[in-house]
Amino acid sequence: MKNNLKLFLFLIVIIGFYKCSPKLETYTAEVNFISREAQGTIVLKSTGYGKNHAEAVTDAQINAFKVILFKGIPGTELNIPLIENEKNVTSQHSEYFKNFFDGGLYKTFMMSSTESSNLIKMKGTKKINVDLKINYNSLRKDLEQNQLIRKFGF
Amino acid sequence: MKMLKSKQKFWVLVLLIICFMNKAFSQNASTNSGGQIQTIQPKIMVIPYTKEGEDIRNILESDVNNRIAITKVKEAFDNRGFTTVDFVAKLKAAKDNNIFTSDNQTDIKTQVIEMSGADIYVQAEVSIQRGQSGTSVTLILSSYEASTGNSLSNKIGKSGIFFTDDIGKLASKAVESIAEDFLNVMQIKFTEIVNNGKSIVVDISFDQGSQYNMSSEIGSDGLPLSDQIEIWMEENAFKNNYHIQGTTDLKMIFDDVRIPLKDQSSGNNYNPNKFALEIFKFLKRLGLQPGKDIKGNTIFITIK
Repeated sequence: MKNNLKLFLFLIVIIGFYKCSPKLETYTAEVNFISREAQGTIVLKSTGYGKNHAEAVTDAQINAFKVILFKGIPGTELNIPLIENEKNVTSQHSEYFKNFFDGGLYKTFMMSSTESSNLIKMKGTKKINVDLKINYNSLRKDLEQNQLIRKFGF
Repeated sequence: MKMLKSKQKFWVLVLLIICFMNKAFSQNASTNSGGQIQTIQPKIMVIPYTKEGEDIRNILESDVNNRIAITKVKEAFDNRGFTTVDFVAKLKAAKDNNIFTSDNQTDIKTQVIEMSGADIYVQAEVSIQRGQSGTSVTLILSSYEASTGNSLSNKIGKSGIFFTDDIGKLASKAVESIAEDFLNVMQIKFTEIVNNGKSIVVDISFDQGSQYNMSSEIGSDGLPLSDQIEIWMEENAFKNNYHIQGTTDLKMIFDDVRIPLKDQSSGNNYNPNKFALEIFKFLKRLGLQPGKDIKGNTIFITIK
């Protein structure tokens, strides 16, 4: 009985440690460049997945921002990601990212969001393509003001 | 009662001395920032490219397309909240002050860069291609550290081919196509500087009448002077990062010595002048009579 209790407590501690450790959520890189209109803006096609229409669209929008922030888009002005070290910055500024993705702050940098495909049924999920126009200039300024990245210079 | 009074007088005196010392040694009230430290930013100047024999003074005045390209590049810096040194203003100031001492055009460019105090200069070259299918402009943008010549960012921008004679508009398009990417690469290099230190040049030589040379055995351990200097540099260059260009009996040149942007103990801004002082103190400790000159990011040490 005592041994069972010890094992139970040990498992709780292990699960606790696992839950507390910083983790990076995976996201797809299905974000492609469409065009560049005014300076400081970019139009992208992003793919999102979800149980329903709303969830898939939100996933596509968040996915596009995650790629701009942490991966960069080759062949565009955002060739280099806005944030250099994803792991460090996300763990140091977890509150900002909570507000950015869960609180919907990212929407303030989205100039337009148009669905470019119907909701496609797939095995266990649904998929949608969304065309997004993003004001990355103002996104960069916000990251600078919140000290997630340095301003231009030293 | 008398004892108490004399004690009181003593403490009043101590308090007055403390107040006086605070006044005497504290920062001037009108410039006191309350301990805030702002990192000193590099000075960046955008200049036109000149071929051999071309007069940099006339390039901008005669060619509006060059002016458009340079203004567009400066605009890109402004969009990132960064103010550049104005080349035209510096050129005018240089003319007014008669700083040009040579007819060699390359020298004039160097003189303007030196006079401006720019740490980094961005060179813009505009070339126009005219063909049967239209006109296009190619722009080559390169940025360098003025003191070491280290390259920071290089990009080639193209306007695309159009049936137009508006070269200025094409030059603008060429700049727009690469400006953002060009600045992003520069910012990566800046991050590298923040992490690994700023690059400076240290040139150590001897006065004509000096009794020493680089082979002179010196110090308590009797090592040759060049080795003493290298051991010191090894210990004092930021993150042990330095490169010797060459050593002769009369000269030792470090063409790349890294110094931190911030004093590692106080957190204040650090500069080549402070590093030169450390070299000066070290040579004094060896029993030498050094002299020091600092020009931008280059330190000249002359041993008497």
